[in-house]
Amino acid sequence: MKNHTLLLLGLLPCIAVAQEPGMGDSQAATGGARPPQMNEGFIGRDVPAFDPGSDVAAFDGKVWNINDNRLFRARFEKYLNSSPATSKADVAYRETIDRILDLISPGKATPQNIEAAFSLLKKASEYKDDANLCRTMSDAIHAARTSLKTVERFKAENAMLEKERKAAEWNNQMAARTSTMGISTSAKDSPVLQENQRIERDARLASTRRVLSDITQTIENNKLRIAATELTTKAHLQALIMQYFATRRFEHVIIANRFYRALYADGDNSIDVYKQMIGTMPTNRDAGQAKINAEFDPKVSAAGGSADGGTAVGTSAGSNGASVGVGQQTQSPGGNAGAFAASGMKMGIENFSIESLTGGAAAAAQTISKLVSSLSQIDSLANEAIRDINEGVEAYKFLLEQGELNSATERLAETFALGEYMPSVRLLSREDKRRALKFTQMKNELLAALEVNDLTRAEKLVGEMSETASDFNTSKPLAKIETAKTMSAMHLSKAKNAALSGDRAAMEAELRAAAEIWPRNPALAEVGNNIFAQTDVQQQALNELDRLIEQGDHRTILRQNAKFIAATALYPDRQEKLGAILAQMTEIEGSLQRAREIQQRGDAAGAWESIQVAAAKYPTDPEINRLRADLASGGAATFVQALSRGGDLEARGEYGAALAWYLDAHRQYPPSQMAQERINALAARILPGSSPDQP
Amino acid sequence: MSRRARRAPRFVWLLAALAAVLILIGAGGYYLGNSSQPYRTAPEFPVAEYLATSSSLRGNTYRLTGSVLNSIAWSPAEGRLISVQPAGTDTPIPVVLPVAVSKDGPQKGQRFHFLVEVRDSGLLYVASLTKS
Repeated sequence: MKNHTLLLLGLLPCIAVAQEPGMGDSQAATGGARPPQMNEGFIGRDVPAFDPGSDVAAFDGKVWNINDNRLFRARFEKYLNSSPATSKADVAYRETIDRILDLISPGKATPQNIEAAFSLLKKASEYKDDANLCRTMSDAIHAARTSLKTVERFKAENAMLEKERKAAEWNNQMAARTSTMGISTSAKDSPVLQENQRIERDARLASTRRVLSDITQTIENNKLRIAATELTTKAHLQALIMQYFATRRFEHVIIANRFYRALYADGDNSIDVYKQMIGTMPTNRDAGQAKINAEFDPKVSAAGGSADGGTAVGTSAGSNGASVGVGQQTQSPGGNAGAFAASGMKMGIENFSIESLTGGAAAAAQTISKLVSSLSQIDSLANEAIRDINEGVEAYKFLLEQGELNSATERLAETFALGEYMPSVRLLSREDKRRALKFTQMKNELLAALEVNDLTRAEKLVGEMSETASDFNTSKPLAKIETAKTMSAMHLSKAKNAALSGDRAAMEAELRAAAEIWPRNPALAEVGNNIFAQTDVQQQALNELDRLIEQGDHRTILRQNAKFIAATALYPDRQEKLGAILAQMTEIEGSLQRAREIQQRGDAAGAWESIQVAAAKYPTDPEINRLRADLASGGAATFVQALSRGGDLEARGEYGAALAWYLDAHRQYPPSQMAQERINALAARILPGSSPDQP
Repeated sequence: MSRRARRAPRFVWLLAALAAVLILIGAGGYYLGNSSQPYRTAPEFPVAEYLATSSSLRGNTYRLTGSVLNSIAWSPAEGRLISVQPAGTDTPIPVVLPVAVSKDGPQKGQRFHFLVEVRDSGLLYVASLTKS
């Protein structure tokens, strides 16, 4: 039973030949991982393997998910949408097939019933559902019958030739005897006489031997023809049966098998001839399809011979002609010898099915030929398949009633894959199938959504499917969805970090990775826009900073310091420049602030002196110069003028007058540090070694 | 008629004599006033000119009258540098009181007559001083 199941699963490639197994959908489903089925097992890759845990089948080094195959899904949906096979023609066809099966069933296969069944084959082939398979079978059976008649004729001819050969052998024996009548005793011993007698005997034997050889050759030729004819017809029928099996036409397998047994009542059910043919079957593996050509052109040869002393007679026959030879053997051990050789059997299938099932059929045929050794096994497998299919349909109906749509749909898909043409599958009502159809469509949509990583849609579908089918296991798809979401979020997070650290290449790589995992991730566009906007703003800020530095507009930099601090966070050179500028501007603004406060108190000279200190350090700052000018021309004019005049005179070396002006300035603004400094300086110059007194 | 003629000359003479007395009083006062200010031979110190360009006054000696404002510096060897506010102006003028002159120790706020000499760098050195 285990072998039977394994073999039946071997038929599954038939429905997936238009697509390279292991590619496309199945690849998405398996995530590209190499499943264990692809490894060399102890029986190699030639035997198909099926993992019920993952619904993955493996054969010939390729794997695919039987539920996740584009072609299969399409065929299955087509089936689910089709009306049940209950039309008049469908019913009539069913009745015809059932009648044929009944007529040739064991115990009823009388010659009359076989003839009746044979005639019904033509009728069955008239229906569309039969796809002319019964006519092909009918033709093959007719050819086998004709061949068998030819064999019978050859056998009868050989019986007659055997009689003739016996007579020829008698004549030959008689001719071989040497007559001694009329010869004296002394003369009998004469060497000359003996030589003459030998020559006469050889002359007599020459004709009888030729006749005997002709008869023997004809008999052997007939035997070879019989063997070749039987091989040809048996091989054709066996190939037909195996073809039906490979294409899952199990009823036709049983019908053909029963006809085969009726035709060849010798009890030989071995399929060795078929195996020899299938061994030569070419398969276009690169294209993923099999091209099978049937060519049975036997080159059969046989050789028979007898040796008698030093003389040998041999015959040989082949499909290319026959030859007879007489020769002399010097050291032959004597006796009879025979040899038989047959070669030139080829089988190929080209455009095996209009549904492009050739590859699968070829693969299945080769697989089956390795596991099956007799037609009885094929018959048993076909019956087993039919039973399995019928049970599958019953299981589907039961699960449907229970509301377990997931299991029901899986059972129906498996049953459909195995028994697409079986009555129980074809007769399933459209109402029953529609429920599975809806669930299948959702499942296919889920697969498609997962295939393109549309996780939002997939998640929604999982929710809907769990509501529709109580037994739908959400853990697998949800695990994949959640994992993908997490991975996408991680990549987005990394992209953000990369953007913040200024690693643009890493940011783009992470965004790309996130997009590959979840292309329609709503956060993707948002994060992407934010990052690019941030990057854009940052770049703009840096450009503006460079421009302002070049213009010396440090005050604008100070006003927008937060923006520039953020923008230069990743650029140490700019950061250093900005730091120096901000420190300088902070000092300048502090001086200005202090000066304004002093001015507001009415102390213009004090304000001027305060800002003058900053102006000496930052002579180009416009705000300092503006305030300084305002004060110098306003309330602090005389004070500034006194200091200025003092400075001028001091520069000219007129220290006395200079000191007078400084004293005047100090008089106007006693807290003046500048005036005091200059007074002290000049006092020290005027009176070297003096100590200052308070003015 | 003759009576009116005799009274007019007497009044003129009285007026003339009064005028002469007043003139004499004024002249005497002017003489007495000038004779009390020291260093009358030295010209008044030109403050404005000094503040504009002191180098042009170098080598000259002037009379400067003013109040002592502050002591700016003091050197045992050189003397004392003080600021003086000349009469009639607010701008302090620095003057150097050499040791020989500064021994009297002018006090802040005291008014003096200074005889000052303009030296190199426009520095005013007090040659002598008299309390005013």
